[in-house]
Amino acid sequence: MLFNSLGFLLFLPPALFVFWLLPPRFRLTWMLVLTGGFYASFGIGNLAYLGAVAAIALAAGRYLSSDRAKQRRLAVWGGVAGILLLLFLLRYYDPLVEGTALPTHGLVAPAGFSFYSFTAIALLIDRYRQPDLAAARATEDLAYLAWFPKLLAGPIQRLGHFLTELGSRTKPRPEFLALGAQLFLWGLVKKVVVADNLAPFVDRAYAIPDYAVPMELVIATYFFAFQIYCDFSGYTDMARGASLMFGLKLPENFKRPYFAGSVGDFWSRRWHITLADWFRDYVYYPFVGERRTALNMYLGIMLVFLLSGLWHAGLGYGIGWGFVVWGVMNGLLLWGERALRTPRKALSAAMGKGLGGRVYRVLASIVVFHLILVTWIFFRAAELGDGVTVARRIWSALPEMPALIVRYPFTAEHGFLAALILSLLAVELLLEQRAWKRRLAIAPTALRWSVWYACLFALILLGRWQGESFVYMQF
Amino acid sequence: MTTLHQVSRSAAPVKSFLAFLALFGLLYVIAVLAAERHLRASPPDGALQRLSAYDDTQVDWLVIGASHTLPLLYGDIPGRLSQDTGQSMLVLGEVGAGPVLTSFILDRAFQELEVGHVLYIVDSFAFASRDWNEARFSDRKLLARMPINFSTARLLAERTAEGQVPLVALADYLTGFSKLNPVERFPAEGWRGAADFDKAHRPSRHAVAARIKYLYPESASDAEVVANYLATLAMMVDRAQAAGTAVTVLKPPVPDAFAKALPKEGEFDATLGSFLEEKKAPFLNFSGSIPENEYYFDTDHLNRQGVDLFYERALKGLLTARP
Repeated sequence: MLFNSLGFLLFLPPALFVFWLLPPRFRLTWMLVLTGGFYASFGIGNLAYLGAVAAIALAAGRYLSSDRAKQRRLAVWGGVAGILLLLFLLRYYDPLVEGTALPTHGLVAPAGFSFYSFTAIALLIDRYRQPDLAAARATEDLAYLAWFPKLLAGPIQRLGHFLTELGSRTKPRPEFLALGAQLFLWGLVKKVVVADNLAPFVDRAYAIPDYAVPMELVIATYFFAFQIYCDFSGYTDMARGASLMFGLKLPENFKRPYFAGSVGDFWSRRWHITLADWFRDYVYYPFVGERRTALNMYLGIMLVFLLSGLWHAGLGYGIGWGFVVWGVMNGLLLWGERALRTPRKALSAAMGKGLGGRVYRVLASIVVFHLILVTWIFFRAAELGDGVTVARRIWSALPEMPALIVRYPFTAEHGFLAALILSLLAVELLLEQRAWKRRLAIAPTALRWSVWYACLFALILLGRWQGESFVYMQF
Repeated sequence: MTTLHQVSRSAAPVKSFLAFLALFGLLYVIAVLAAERHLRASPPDGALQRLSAYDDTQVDWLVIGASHTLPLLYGDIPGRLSQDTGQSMLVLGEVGAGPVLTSFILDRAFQELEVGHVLYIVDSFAFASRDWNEARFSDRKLLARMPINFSTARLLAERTAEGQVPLVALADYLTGFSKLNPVERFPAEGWRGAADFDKAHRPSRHAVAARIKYLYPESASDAEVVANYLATLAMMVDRAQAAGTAVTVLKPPVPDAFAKALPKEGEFDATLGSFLEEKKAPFLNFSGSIPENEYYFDTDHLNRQGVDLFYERALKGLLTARP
């Protein structure tokens, strides 16, 4: 029951209706029932995997309320180790031992497994670090781990934030319902209209990169940048929208990432923000420690991106080394950016704050986008060798690119897909300006309704309703 | 105590939402009607479109079946038959149509027309898989080509109740969704039908193997599956005969290489032959009558030359002998 399926669109309204109809004390149970039903719709066996992670988190969590420091330390380390072991066994063990004398188990992590595993780790560490964090019932912890809108691909929320949200709104608020529906609709547009229309083109070009012409690979790589963005941020918007309709805010995960002025800005404030925060708080800070030397920080950055690459790499059908390269490349980009911080600041200052400043920001965004674009090649390619082939073929064609562009037989499909991307960028550019956001919110009904209808008819007329799953569900 | 002002304030969002929905419904209906108008103005492509465009209430020969019926249309056999014998012919074949979809089309034709004879151009693949039968109704390209019609809707609803048509397909048809949302906005290279009709096929073992794999998705035709779809054929024949319409079943010519690659074809022919004998419906097997590749525009469909030859050699006599 994907968010973009008819099943989910039929599931959500009655789920909401019953939720708001129930007395507040029964709503948490209803949330767990909905979560169970939603996850079981992908396969009843999924509940066993969720149950295993929840059992570890809840069992370790019980000891975290102990007064004895040693017991608490043991509980947090034991719990985190148990979850990481499960993650390793289900995502990496089989591909690693395949072809050796060691036995394989044949089990594959179900959709969303690493997301609720990360949430479980956050639960244990936050409870360990903040003993004064309000004690929650097991059902509340379970809801935090598995609340269905964020179950499959985040956002990875913090315990304190979730507990504050839980039960804070006892009556349905029309503005929350409207805002939730608006977010859900916009997410659906990004997924079904933009991402899913781009996907077949990208798939064709990347299927056998040796046979695709370089220009096609260039176009497909640009298209993939927007496919992955709209796929993942579309999912997040739908998750946030669906949750908001139940009165629960989920954190923002994407903030128009392709307008980032630096790679650091892209990764820390605009792309998969909650995972970046997770890595910062549970990997980077503990690694760097109190003494923030330059060496520690450089190593910490690389460690985070290496782990991120490895996390993406364990797909159950083999280790995707392209993801590891992608992670390392991003780490190197951040190294470079950090090393060039002084000249970058000097250049920015020299450009001033007026027109020069704007030109600097636009140019910086374009450069950052293209640096990220190069790394996407290794993210999208089926394997590392394919990624190298794509990069090599594009690189060798670069000197002739102007002539290739003139001669290239652009089709209606190229035009249609480019128009979708430009429309998306136009909307994002408006949303990037806070003033416009406010203006839209207080715009006359006719204008606001027109925007809603435009989104609805974009879904009906332009959407690609093939039940495509979300890219990040596999991780 | 709740004041009137509070009540009106709390009701305002609901009213506003209902107004929004009503306007959306209206806009949606307008869009569907525009799409329907466009469909009716386009050259008929699907069987029900051709039925809708047919401007008579009587037809001498109704041709049904899968894609092997279509070369008759591309070669204007209806026009030639009319010129040669004065008889009318309507080709209601549909790509990939097995007995379940064909039976649906036939029933719709019987609702609209007085039919003299039914000529069923039959293929073994159509009896070998659910993909060519119940699952065909899930093809959104097919649904997009079905004009809105009360009788079609009612028949689809009946078939849905019988479990032959998925509920989603019925909902799609009733809402006109596939007409608004083309499933293939930029069609990939595939079967081009009429566009290739004047070409001659260059023989290719790979192409034949790929075609057979496509037509027979299940590894071997299950006798039970075939029997199930033969039962559907039996119902079709019974309904037609009860209405006083004669049924002739014909196997179309296919190239030699293709015929040899078909799995269990002899077994199927024997089963079909004895089954039709019981039903007193003639079974004419022309599958080996034109074995040369030059008469086909792809692995198994007659090209213009092939259709001309087939008409002169077999079809003309058959259609004239049964006025």
